[in-house]
Amino acid sequence: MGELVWAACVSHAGGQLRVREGDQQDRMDRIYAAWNELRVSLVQAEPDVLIVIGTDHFQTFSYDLMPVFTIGRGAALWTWGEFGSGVKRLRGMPALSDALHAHLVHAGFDVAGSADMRLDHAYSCPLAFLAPDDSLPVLPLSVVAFVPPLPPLARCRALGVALREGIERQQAAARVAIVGTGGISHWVGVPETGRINPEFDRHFLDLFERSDVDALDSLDDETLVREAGPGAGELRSWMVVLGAAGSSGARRLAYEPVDAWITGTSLVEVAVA
Amino acid sequence: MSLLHLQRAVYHLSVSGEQVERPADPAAALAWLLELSRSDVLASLPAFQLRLELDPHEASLIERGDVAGMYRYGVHPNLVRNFASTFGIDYVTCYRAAGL
Repeated sequence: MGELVWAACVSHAGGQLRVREGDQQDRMDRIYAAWNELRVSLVQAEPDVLIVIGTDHFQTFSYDLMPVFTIGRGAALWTWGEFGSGVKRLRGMPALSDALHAHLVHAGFDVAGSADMRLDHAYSCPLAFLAPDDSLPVLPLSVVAFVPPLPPLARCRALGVALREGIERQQAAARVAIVGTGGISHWVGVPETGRINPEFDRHFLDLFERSDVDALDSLDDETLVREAGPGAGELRSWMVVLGAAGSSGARRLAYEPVDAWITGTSLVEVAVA
Repeated sequence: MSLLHLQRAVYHLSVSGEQVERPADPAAALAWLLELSRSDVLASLPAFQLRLELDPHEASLIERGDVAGMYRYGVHPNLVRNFASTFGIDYVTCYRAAGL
């Protein structure tokens, strides 16, 4: 039987990889220090695999096929190499992904499976900080964040609950870690590009740290986009992790609005209950 | 002939923009993609056939790198961003110049 041993949520702004120096160096440095703290925490948890909940930015999926939820089932997972991260071949864990895929479908979540899901910066950015030697097997799960119809946040949290059940019932991996990536506020591709809303970000973080699931579940997409930009749709990944971890709180390691990264950037460690 | 085909073309021109070698000029890149879509290799592999039917206005948006026009036409903002990044276009400045 598997055990969830570690959980976290992080921003995945690619600028963190490419723009390491700037006018807000103190803010950047606090984020990099938080990455280091989170990496040490992950290592100490001694996981056998890291599940990464992310989203695709029109790199792997297009309007030709845009699944709502997709689990990467490959033994090898290739990255796109954006933001200077380089194209990498990561190790997957097919036995685990097969077990979790089956569990989720049987639990009522019609998750698509991909034997060769290529990974963009939603995955490669956090992995560059959390598992830079690429030795830790990875299991990606993509949640659509930008292309309607979008799953409600409550649905994403429920997916996380089902994912946790699957983790505890499978026998492919004894110690499982999970990280959700994306957010917080950012406007990309639109005329408001570059805008950050720290007020919303801190409000969201407050709700998330307290695991106020009623308030979080009630955040609809109209509110998210208006208050935190289209990029805030990625907070669905955070909700999956919250559900998986048991919705029992989180600890903020850092929050900084970084203009060069055009993102309200944060890292939190999520309590596993 | 449709927003779908324009977005399909933008997607294929932009995906993995930092990894794939393609013409650096949007017009030349579109010509390259259209030629690729008509290639015998793709025709022999039905699952990989790439159908692109762009009307002159849609083709012009790509050829001129008109990211503001794409945005107004309804191309998804993330696709616009990817296209702009691939071809070195400052889309925010273009949006401003176009009154967006």
